[in-house]
Amino acid sequence: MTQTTISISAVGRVFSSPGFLLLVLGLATFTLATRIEPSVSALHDQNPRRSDPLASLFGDGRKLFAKHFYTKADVYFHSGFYPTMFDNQESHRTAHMAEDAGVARSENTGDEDHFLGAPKNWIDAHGRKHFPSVHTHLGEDSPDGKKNSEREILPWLKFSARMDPNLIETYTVAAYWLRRTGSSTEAEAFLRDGLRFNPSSAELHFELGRCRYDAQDRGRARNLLERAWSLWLEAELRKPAEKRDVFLGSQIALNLARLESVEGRRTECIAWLERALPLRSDPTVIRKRIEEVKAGQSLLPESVNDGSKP
Amino acid sequence: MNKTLAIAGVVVVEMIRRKDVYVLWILTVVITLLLGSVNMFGDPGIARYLKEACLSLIWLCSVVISASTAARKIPMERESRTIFPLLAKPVTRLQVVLGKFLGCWVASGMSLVLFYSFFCVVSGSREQQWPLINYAQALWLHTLFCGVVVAMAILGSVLFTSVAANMTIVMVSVFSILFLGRHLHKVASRTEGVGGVLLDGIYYGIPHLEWYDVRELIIHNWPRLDWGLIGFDTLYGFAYCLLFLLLAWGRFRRQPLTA
Repeated sequence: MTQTTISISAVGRVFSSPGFLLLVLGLATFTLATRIEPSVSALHDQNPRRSDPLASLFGDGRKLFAKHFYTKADVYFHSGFYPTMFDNQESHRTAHMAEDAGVARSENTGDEDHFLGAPKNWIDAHGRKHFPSVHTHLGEDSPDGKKNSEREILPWLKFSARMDPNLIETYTVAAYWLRRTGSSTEAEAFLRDGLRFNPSSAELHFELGRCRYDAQDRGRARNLLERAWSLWLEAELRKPAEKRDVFLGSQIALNLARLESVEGRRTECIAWLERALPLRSDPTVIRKRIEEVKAGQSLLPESVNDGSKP
Repeated sequence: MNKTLAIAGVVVVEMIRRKDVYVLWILTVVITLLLGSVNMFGDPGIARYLKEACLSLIWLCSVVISASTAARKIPMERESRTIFPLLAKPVTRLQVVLGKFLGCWVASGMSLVLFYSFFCVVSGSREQQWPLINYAQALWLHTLFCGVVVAMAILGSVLFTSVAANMTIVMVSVFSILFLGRHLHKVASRTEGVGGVLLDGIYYGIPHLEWYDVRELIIHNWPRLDWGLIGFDTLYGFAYCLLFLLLAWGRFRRQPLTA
C-alpha cells in the first residue's frame, strides 16, 4: 500500500512538473502544425502573393508606390527634368519611356521643353539654375553623353513591379529597354516573372513573342504571338469598339504577318495583314503591303513598326 | 574673436565625442550598401538610384544633426548653470551666440565631409568616374544650407522654451521650404485675395533653402555649376545666417539667464 502511494505521488509529480508540461505542449503544437500546414501550402499555391510581406504591410497602398516608382523611372529617363504636381503636366500624360518603347500610344500635348514657362521673378529664375531645366532623353542627348545610360531607369521599374506585379506596362517597358541595352535574357526573365502574376496578359505574351523572334526562335515566337492574339480577342471583343486597345491588336497582327513572311508563308501573311486592316486608323499603308506581298515581295521589318522605335 | 573661436572649439570637441553623427553615418552606410547589394538585372554599373538613396539619407541626417546640435546649446548652458561662469569670463552674449553658431556649423560641416566621402566612394565604385569639383560644389552648398539651419535653430533656442518644440519647428520649416519653397509663387498666383498676398509674402521672405539642394544635378551627372552662382548663393546664405543670429542675439541679451 505504501509503495503504491509512493508510486502514485511520484507519477503525479512527474505529470505536474514544468518539463513534462513543456513536452506535452511541444507535442501538441507539432501535431497541430502538421495538421494545418498542407492547407496553408495549398492556399499559397493558389495565391502566391498571400505571403508577400509588402502586400501584408501596405495592402492596396502599395499600388500608389508602384505608380510613383514607375513615374520615377520616367523622371530618370529625363535626367531629372520633369513636371511636378504644381507644373503643367500635359506633355507628360504618357510616360515618354513607354512612348519610345512603343508600348503605349501617346496622349501628350503641349510643349515638353517649356512646361515650366517663363520665370516669374528673379527667385524663380535663379532657382532654375539649381535643378535640371533642359529636356533630354537618356540614350539620345543625356547630359553626360554616356552609352547605355537608359539602364538607369531599370531599378525603378523593378521596384514598381515588386510593389504591384499587376501593372503590365512596367514589364513591357522594362523589357524593351533591357533589349535595347543588350540584356535580352534579362528582358525575357523579367517578362516571365510578370507572366506568373498575369497569366492572361496579351501584352506580356506579345513581348515574349518579340523576344523569342529576336532570338531566332520562330516556333516559340509564333506560339506566343498567337496566344497573345487569342488573349487579346478574348479581352477586347467584350468591350465597346471605341474602348478597345486596337494599338496592341495591330502590333500583334503585324508581327505575326512579319513572321509568316519570313517563313515564306504568303497566304498566312496576307491573312494577318487583313486582320490588322480594321485596327489601323490609316489602312492605306496596310493595303499597300498586302498588294506587295501578293506581288511576291517580302514584308519589310520597318513596315511592322507602328510608330514605335526598333 | 579669440573667445568666439574658443567657444566654437568646445562645441566641436563636444560633437566629436557624441555618438549621434557616427550612428547616423553607420545607418547611412548600412542602408546604402544593402540597396547596392540588390541585383539589378545583373548589371553592376547602374548607379543613379543608389546615389539618390545615399544623398537623400545624407540630407535627412544633416538636417537632424544641424537642428539637434544647435537647438540644445544655449538651453543646455542655462540648465546646467554654466552660462554664468561663461559670461563672467568676460564673454559677451553676442560672442556666445556667434561661438555656438560657428561651432555647430563647423561640426555639421565636418560630419558632411564624412558623409560625402562615403558617397564619393560608392558613386565612384559604380560609375568609375569622380567628378570631384561637382561634388565639392554640392558639399559647399550643403554646408551653407546647414549654416542657415543652425542659425534658425539658435534663434529658436532663445525663442522657444522647449528644445523638442524648437527642433520640431525648425525641421518642419526646413522640410517645408525644401519641398514647397520653389512652388509657393505658383500656388500664390492661383489663390485670390489675402491668401495669395500672404503666400507671396512668405515666398519672398523665406530663405530659399531649396537652392542649396543640387542632388538632381549630381545624380544625373549634369555639368558643374557656374562659380558666380556659387558666390551668390554663399552671400545669400551668409545674409540669412546673419539675420537669424542678430535676431537671436537681440532676444538673448534681453532674456534673464535663470529659467
